[in-house]
Amino acid sequence: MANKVSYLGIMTALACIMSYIEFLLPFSVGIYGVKLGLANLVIVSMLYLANARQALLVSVVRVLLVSLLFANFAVFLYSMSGAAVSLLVMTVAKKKECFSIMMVSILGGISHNLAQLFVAYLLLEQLIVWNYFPVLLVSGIITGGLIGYLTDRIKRALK
Amino acid sequence: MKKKEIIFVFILLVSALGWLMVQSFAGKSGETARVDYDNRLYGTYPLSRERIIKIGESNTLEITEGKIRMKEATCPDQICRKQGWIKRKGESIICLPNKVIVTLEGTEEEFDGVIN
Repeated sequence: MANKVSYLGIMTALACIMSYIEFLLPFSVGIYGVKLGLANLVIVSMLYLANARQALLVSVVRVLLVSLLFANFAVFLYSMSGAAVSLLVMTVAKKKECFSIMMVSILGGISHNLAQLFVAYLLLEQLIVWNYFPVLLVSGIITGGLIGYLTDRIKRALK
Repeated sequence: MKKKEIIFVFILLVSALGWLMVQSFAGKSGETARVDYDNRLYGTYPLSRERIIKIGESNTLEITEGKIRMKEATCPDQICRKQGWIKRKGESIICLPNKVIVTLEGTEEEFDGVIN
């Protein structure tokens, strides 16, 4: 029990630090939703090294903490929807056992951006936000692919 | 990654890029800017007349020579301001934190032909 608590605590702290690093060095290209999402490196790794339930726990606590520290309620909604939907999609994709880590992570990246776009549509009630779909699709593939590649390396290194 | 996965991702990428090309090249220039603020229509402004538009306390738009940009914004990320000028129909500037949306509209719909 104590082992599990400390493990989850360390992972949550790691995910928060990743968010903070990204906050300090933004790779911003000037489009909403296009960012690396370093914290997801921790989440995707946990999905493979631990299990989906623990990954979800760390993800939710991380979004809550980071939103409280650095953001407002709107940002919280975007983060939470993206985190929840992408983790759901990745869990299902991983269960299928026919996808590589990179593919699972790419699907996660795409669904993350899609969920945020949908929330933007609900909040703003403007169809125009769907114009961002192709950009977010490409960015989801690139960032998801990168996170997936790194997770693969981490998994191999820890084996 | 497996071969099938690479092909799938490649197709996705190509279709997204194609969509983007259509969006950025096929667009006609916009005639009016429609500004929505806090989910309500704030006003529509012709792009032909130069002017500065203040939206609440938070944002300032600038129109000049048929294009428009977010001149000032109080939002933390400043993405709307960094986006710079837009001029094509269908393009938009969105300031998510302050809920400001600028959309460029053309004149009336154009038809190839009308059948009664």
